[in-house]
Amino acid sequence: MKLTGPLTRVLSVFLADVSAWRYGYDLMKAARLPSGTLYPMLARLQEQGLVAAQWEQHSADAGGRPPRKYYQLTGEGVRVARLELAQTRTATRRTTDGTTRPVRGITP
Amino acid sequence: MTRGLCAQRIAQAVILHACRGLPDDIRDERFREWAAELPAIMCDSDIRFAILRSARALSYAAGTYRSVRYLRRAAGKPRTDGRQSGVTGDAAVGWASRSRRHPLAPPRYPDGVLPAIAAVVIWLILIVLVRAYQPQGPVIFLYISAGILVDILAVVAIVRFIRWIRRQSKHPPRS
Repeated sequence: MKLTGPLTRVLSVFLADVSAWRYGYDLMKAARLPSGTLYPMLARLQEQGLVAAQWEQHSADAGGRPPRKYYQLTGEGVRVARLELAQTRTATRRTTDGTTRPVRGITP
Repeated sequence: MTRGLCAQRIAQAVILHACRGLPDDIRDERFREWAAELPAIMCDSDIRFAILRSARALSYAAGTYRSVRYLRRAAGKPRTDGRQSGVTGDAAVGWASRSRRHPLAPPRYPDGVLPAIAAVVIWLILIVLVRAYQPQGPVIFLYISAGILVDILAVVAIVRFIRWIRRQSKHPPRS
């Protein structure tokens, strides 16, 4: 899985509460992504089995609005997301520390 | 009808139009999903002004076109309105499904025709207005903006037409 900036944000939002089911606009707001970026990403994650989706059940507090589709990370999704985000954080830390950055003028 | 409701209806129409480009098996579900988000946007208490909520709803609806492009590619199916998707898949399946046009499908035009028509129309209006009224003061910026819009539309039309020609040369239509 290629971890891009938007994908990192979406996974972080999901991992903030792994048990929560989130609908599209909620994710858009939390991850600060436009719909044209979010939905293709969710579709890709769903294809890979990392995200599960389900339709909202009709309830009295819905106030007559149409049912929404909710998304949640699957067990595998949680595992992969945590792993990928940890790896990204480690790589970022190394780069900012300068330990992996080549020093100009010094050949290994 | 309030302005908010009007914006919601327009956004819904935009989503409906975007969804027409999806394969039949996922079109209805996607439309229901995306249209169901509109009430949430229109009632978003984090956005203070109603006009901004309307703008958000319209921007959300416009974004679904991008989602449709991805979903169409992912489904590996060409557009059901008869235009080709540019995806190289199973040719036999592609041609078979391409021949089934959706009843709501728009007529077949080469890509880029609509922006070209829009550019020409705006350009003609601009010429008529410039001849009728000499632009003075801040109105001149309106003329400049319209001129830039015409240029953008012309570029979009040319790019889309070239891409359409390329797709046609790869997958010539069977008719």
